[in-house]
Amino acid sequence: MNGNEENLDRLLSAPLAAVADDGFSARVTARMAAAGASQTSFETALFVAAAGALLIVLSMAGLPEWLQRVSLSLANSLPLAVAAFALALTALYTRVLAD
Amino acid sequence: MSDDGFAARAAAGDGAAFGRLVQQHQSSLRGFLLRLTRGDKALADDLAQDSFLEAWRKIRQFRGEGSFRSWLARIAYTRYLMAARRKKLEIVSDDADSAPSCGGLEPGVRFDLERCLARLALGERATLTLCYAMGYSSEEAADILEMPVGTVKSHVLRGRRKLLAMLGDAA
Repeated sequence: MNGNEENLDRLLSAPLAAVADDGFSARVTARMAAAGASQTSFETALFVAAAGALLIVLSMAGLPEWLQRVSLSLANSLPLAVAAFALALTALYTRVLAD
Repeated sequence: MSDDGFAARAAAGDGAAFGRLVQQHQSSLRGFLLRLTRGDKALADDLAQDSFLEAWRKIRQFRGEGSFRSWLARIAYTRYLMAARRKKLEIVSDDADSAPSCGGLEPGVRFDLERCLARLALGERATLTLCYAMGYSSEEAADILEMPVGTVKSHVLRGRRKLLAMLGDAA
């Protein structure tokens, strides 16, 4: 290896010159926050739009009548009443134990 | 705390932990991009910001198999390739053999390494920077640049040869 090669390797191996932050990190953090906020707004808007569309479709497909039918059948269901009673007893027993 | 520790916290949604990673790595990443962009500071900073934002979005994909620094450098290199394609940055002559000299190493004559590096092809600039200035092994550089190790080594050899020729012209 001649002198030129040694000098070149020495120059190439020198660490990259330090770049002062000068607010760079703060700008990145600000963009991160802005990107997060716009992502959240977009997801919320998407959810609301999807829920609205679903409600419209379901109401057109007879959702109110279906809900009424289901509610009535649930209210008149003996197994459901037994299950609810068992659940209430369990909750009560747990509370007594906790006390 | 190590980079992996901050990265794990960032993956759990801790923006402040990622902010620490930005502070720790901004200088080397911007320096690397400055070499790639041939000293275009504005473009290098834009690409560095975009790289950090992409890293933040994809932080859960960082498994800690390699270092955070090399994962970030890979994102930055890909970003630069996309920008270079869009802006046709690498069409400018990559033939450094016929380039005029960049100064010499004799006393009183300053060899302008940055100017000479700017005359090299992208692969040569990138591999010389990663393997020499940033201390990566050929294997790590190959992983960052997504090219075979043999290609990295030949880029390094060719780049060095061109730089030596420029030095020789200057001598």
